[in-house]
Amino acid sequence: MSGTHLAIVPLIALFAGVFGAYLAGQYVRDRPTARSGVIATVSLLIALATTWLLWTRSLPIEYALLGEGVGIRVTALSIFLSTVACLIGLLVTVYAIGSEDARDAPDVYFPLVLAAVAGVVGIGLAADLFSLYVFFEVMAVATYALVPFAVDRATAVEAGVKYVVMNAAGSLLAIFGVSLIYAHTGGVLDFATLSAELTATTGPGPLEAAVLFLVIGFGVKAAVVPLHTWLPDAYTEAPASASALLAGLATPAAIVAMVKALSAVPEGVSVGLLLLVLGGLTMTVGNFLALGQRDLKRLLAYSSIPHVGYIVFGFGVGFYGGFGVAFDGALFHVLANAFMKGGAFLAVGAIGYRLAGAEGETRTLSALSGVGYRMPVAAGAIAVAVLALAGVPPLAGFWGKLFIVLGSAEVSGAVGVGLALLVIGNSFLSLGYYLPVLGALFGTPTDAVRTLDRTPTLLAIPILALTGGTILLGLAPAFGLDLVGPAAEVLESGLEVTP
Amino acid sequence: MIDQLTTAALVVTVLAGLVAVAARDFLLSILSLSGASVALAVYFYLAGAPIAAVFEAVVAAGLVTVLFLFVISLTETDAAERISGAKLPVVGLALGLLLGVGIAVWTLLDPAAASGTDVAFAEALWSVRSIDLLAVTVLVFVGVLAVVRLTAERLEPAGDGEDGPTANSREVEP
Repeated sequence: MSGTHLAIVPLIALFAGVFGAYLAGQYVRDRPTARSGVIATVSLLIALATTWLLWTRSLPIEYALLGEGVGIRVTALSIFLSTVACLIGLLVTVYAIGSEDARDAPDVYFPLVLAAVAGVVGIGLAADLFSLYVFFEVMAVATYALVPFAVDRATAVEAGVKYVVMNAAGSLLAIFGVSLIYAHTGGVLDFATLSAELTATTGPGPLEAAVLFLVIGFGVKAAVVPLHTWLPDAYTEAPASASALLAGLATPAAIVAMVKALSAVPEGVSVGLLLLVLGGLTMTVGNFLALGQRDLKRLLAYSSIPHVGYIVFGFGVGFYGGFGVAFDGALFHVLANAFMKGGAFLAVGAIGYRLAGAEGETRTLSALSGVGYRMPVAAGAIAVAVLALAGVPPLAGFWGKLFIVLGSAEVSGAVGVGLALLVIGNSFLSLGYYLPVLGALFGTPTDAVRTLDRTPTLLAIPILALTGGTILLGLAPAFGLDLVGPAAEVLESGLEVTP
Repeated sequence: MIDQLTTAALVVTVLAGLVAVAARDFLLSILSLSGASVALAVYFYLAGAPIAAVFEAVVAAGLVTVLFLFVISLTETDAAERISGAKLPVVGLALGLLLGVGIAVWTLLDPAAASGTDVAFAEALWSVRSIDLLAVTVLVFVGVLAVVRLTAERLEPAGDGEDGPTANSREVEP
């Protein structure tokens, strides 16, 4: 046991933050939102700082809670997920302090955000398949309450019910898949030996069944077509900061959880082909669904589906041919997606915050016409995010897609060219709904927009940070690749560990 | 060490039981009853009956307490008002903490004192999968928070305006 107590600190800090933020919100009469939010911010900062300290150590680090039993394993993948989760969690928390999102019940809102972040951190740290599932559930249950957080709005509750029912069913299938693997190996679930064990043993049923259950189970949360139907409503009805957390963090993290589980499956089971087909389907269907959406938040929600598709497709290509560059691309897109989608949803929320008093439709593209002149920060952030999402070159979204295309092209023959063209074609297709957004933001201002105030400072900080990240990752992808490269290697080599 | 813990667990059980009987405040009464159960569960574990300890903790300290709270909140008396709103989550937190203490005591102790398949099961639960247990503790707490949020409207006594349950019960408190 080469353990250091530092390994568990991010997780403990976040768990303590869950309770701390709750207590602060509950017992401080004076400005509970700020107090609860500050505690959440502090615990996220501690988690982020310790993650950075762990990054400088030699990995992997094994740690068990009381010195025995199943513990956690800090790998480059854990560092990657932890960094992304804490960064997005931090910015979302700052945003929620400044906005109305948490006003009703800050004592509940901030713990839920922290728990979702802790779940994602745990997904990275989990040393065995069952722990992975438990942390996945921590993340999922926290988001169950974030979607219908505005409980007095019927549409939000409806979206929440749809979300909870579908995802609860998905969780059941996922744990069934885990149990099949458990039966297959006769009790071995540890990622360090799972792959070898699965090759050596023949369980009661075909391993393909377990793989299917895992893909479908985690796939519901990841919104893989045809399991995506909860997503548009959930993202549209959730508070802006919760949407950013879901789109930027929770959904991609579910894909990573799925891939982490699948990385233990030995060759011979065509995981790659399955993910390729699902990914291709998801991005194409998602792009067609997003075309013609007039409500900006709903458009962004729909446009999350193709991005799930790109990531799943990238992993599929990686598994299919063992191409490292496709793994790099898929994980880089997870990182880029966090910045792009996070920034876009927060910016839409900031505009909604200012437009809250206006009558009639406030989120359609025509109602938002000209908002770029009154709220340059928010509208500029949306413009950058939308261009990056479409994959325009000097921005973050370009590199992930480029690596995925490069990986696809490595598949031999016409199939490889076809796969690459599918990704490129989808990127151009997405311009069909991203460009009207740009047109609307800087069109002729409407009457309601003409009187708008500027973006509030506390909301502008996280929005600018995410937009800055999108631009920086695009200009200097090496920053991201330092984080992504080793993590992708961990996934590619099947998490085998030789202590 | 073990002996002192045994004595301490029994003393806490008796004291908490006395408080549960004597207290005039329903909330205090219920909480100390569940405290007694947790202490009793600790004693069971020390006495070499881990399965009984688990059931004592889960059923007596957890389930029965929740049932008490729900029944009392249905009766529409002063006590119901005291428990509704902000206090319900507090109760949840207190229960979580009590269980957490119990879990910590169990995991810190050396289970070598007892033997048999029961112990193997308990060991599997408390020692081998301690990280999952920690996560599940948080999971349950988050679940409680989620339920509190989703039932926020219904917890509120009728005709008390639109404030959330927190703001409302603050007015009730002296």
